[in-house]
Amino acid sequence: MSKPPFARKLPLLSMTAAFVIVAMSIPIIPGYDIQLAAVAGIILGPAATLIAAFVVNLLLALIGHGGITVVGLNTLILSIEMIAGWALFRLLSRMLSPALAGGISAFLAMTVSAGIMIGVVALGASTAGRVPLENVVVVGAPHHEGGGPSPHAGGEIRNLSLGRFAAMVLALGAVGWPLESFIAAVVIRFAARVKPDLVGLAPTYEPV
Amino acid sequence: MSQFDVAIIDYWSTSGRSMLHRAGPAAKLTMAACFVAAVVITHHVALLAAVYALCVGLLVSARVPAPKVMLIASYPALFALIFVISEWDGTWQTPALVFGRALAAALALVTLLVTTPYPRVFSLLSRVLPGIVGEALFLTYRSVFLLLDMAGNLVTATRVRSGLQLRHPLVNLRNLSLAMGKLLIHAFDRSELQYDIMVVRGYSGHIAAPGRAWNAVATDALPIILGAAALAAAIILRWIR
Repeated sequence: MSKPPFARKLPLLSMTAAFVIVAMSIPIIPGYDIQLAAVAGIILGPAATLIAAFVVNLLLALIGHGGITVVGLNTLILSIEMIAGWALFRLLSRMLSPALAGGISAFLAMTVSAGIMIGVVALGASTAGRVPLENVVVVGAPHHEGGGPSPHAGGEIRNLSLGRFAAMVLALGAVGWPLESFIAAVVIRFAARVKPDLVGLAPTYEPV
Repeated sequence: MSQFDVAIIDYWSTSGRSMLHRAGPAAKLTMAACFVAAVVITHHVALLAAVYALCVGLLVSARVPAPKVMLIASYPALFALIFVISEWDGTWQTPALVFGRALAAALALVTLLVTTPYPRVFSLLSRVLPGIVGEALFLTYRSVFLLLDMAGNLVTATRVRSGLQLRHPLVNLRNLSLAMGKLLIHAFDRSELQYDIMVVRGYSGHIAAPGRAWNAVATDALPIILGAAALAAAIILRWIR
């Protein structure tokens, strides 16, 4: 039976996107919504991450947990985090154990996405360290720690201190990222033992 | 996000019989889009408050528990706080605008979803989204319910086995992380099963979206008028500023 090439991956894509949403609802760290975007990226690979990231952001926006006007930007940032997680894990898992590779990949991916998010906000800067908020406004919010509101047209607020904004994002990340990386490491180790092919690893045993 | 937000939103949207519930999804989507556009355009805190109050009024008239919905839609305020602290200039208008925009836009969308069953909203969105994205939207939303159920059971099982103790946060973290790992494996198994079922039912790369694009009914008038009024007010206020 011939099928479109992507059709086989659709249920896994949807289930992984749902996993990211459900992960946010489990109260593992009080006051912090874990996302496990890097884990999702490791499972899906780069081709499907953009769709998964878009679906996650759109659903979160519809249930009041994200900004509808910044769905595109949040999708870009989230998919970069997923792809970074996937690429780093592919690289690191050749040298390190799956748990360590997963944890480090998740941490670095979150750092990359926070850096991009701060960079996007900085793009509106007219003078060093100050962003004119004619171009930046919160309409809803992104969904992850270190993911502040994104640029958007409108607003009459005068100025945003980019330094203060970045300091807050990084301060929150300093607490949340290590914890989320630990969770990602445990999840990847579990997956690597039970279903190694799910995280792109070869089985460590001979099939009977 | 509360564990049961998605489930309760779905319950409210399907169980209600109010005028707003009976209005067509296209009309309500238009209203939500107009509200969001007004929120983006306006510089007036009063208009933001008016849009918010309008949404609350619609929720009350739809007999949906407004305080609970407002609480669900207040989540973006946490993130708006980062912006408020980053750029606060000592005036009350700045935080009011930032919080007002975040809360009003979120409540407009949640109002749409608590009064419209998700297949009808997604069916409408599928008409403008690429096919694969529309299908992923349907399947993901459905999968959220499956996984929420499993996650609830896993957390309960972990708690019953004394895997969660107030005095040992690190042990809690490890045990809940293992539960997440288990959930991931369940999700993978479910996705395999789901695909097999879809193929048996004739899936060949396309899921049919139910419903017609716009099946106008009399109750459509109210959401369209309200949305247009909010947007017109925002445009006029912007223009005369």
